[in-house]
Amino acid sequence: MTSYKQVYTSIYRHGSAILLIFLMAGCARLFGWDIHAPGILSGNFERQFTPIHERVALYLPDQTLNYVSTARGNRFADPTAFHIGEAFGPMMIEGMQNGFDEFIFMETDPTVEIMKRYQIPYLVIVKISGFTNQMTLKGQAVNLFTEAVVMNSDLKQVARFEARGTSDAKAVFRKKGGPEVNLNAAIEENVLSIVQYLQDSVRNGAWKT
Amino acid sequence: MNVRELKTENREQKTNMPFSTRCSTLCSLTVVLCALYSVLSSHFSYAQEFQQVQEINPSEVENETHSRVIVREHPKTGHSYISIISDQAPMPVDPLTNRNKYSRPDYRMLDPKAKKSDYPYDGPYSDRTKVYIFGATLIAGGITGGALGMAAAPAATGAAAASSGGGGAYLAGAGVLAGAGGVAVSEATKIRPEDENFIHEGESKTIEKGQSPKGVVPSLPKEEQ
Repeated sequence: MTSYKQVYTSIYRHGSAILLIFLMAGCARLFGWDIHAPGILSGNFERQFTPIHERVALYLPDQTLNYVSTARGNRFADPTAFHIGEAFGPMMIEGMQNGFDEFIFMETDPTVEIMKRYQIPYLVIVKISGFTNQMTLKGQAVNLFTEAVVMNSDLKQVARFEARGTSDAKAVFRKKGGPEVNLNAAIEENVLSIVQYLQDSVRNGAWKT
Repeated sequence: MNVRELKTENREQKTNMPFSTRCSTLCSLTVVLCALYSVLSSHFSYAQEFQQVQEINPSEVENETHSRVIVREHPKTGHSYISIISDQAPMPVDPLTNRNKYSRPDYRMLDPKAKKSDYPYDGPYSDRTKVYIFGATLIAGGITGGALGMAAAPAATGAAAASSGGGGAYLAGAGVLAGAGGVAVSEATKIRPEDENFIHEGESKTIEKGQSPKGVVPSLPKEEQ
C-alpha cells in the first residue's frame, strides 16, 4: 500500500526534475556565445589586389546581410551564434572597392532599366549558402560557403560560381578575440576568392559575347 | 600724435559712448547672433540627417528607373562608395548595421605561439570566463534557493526525503552544468602550442557558364540556417 509519504516524495522528485529541465534550458541560453567578427579586411588583402578598370555592381540580398549561423561545432559545445552577415556585408563591399575602379552597391532590386540607365555591364549577386563550424580539442575550423551569380546589363546570367573560405586555427579560445578573428579570416578568404574570380573573368573577357 | 596716443584716444571714445548707443549696439549684436544661430542650427540638423548620405544630382536621375544615386560612407574604413537606392520610399537606412570601427586584424595572432602583446587586437571579443562565473553564481543561487525551498516544505512530506531527493537532483543538475563549463575552460587552458601554424584557404569554382535558359533572374540557393 502506498503511503502519503511516498506520494509526496514522488511529487517532489518529479517536480525537481521538471524544475531542473527549466533551469538547464535557461542556463543553456545563459552560456551562449555571440560571435561578432570585426568586419574589416586585413592589410594583406589590399596588398594582394590591384583594382582593375571596370564598372561592377554588387547586390546583397537581405538573407546575406542578416545571416546568422548557430552551428555549435559538436553536441557538447556551448550554444553559439555566428553573426556572419553583419561582417560579410562590409567586407564584401570593401573587397569590391579594392577589386574594381568603379564599384556600385545596389540597394534596390536590380532592373534592366537601372542597369541601362547607369551603364552597368555586370551585376554580382552573392548569397551565403552555408557555414560549418568544426570544434576540436585543439582548435576551431570554420568554413563559409557562398554562391554568386553574375548578370549582364540585360539581367541575363553570364556565370554562376561558388566560393569557400576556411580558417583553421588552434588554440583560438586561449586568445582574446580568437573566435572572432577566426571567423573574420574565413569571411576574408571567401571574399578574396570571389573578387579573384571576378577579376580573372573580366580580364579574360569570359563574359563577353 | 604718436600711435599710442591714438589708441588711447580711441579707447576713450569707446568707453565714453552714450548709454543709448551702447544699448542699440548690444541689441543689433543680439539680433545678428540670433540670426546666425538659427541659420547654423538649421544647417546642422540637415547635416546630421544626411551625414552618412550625400545625394548626387537628383535632377539627373529620371523617374523611369525609380532610383536615386547616393554616396555612402563605409562604416569600417570611412571610404565612400556609390549606392543606388529606390526613390519610391524615403531615404532607406544603411543596410550595413554594425558601424563599430576597429583596426585591421592581423591574422598572425592566430598562431598558437604568438603572444598577445605582439599583435594587439581591439576588435569584438567574448569573454568566456565572465560568463561562466556568472552562470556558476546563478547555479549556486539556484541550489541554495532549491535547498531552502525543500527545507521549508511541510513536515508531512518528510523533510529528510525532500532534502535528500529533491536537493540531490538539483545538485546533480548543477554538477552537470558546472562540469560542462569546467570541461570547456580546462579544454581551453590545456591546449599546448603546436608546431603547426593556422591554415587559411579559399577557393572558387564555376557552377554554370553562359546565360540561364529562361533568360531571367536566376533563383539563388535556398536559405540554410
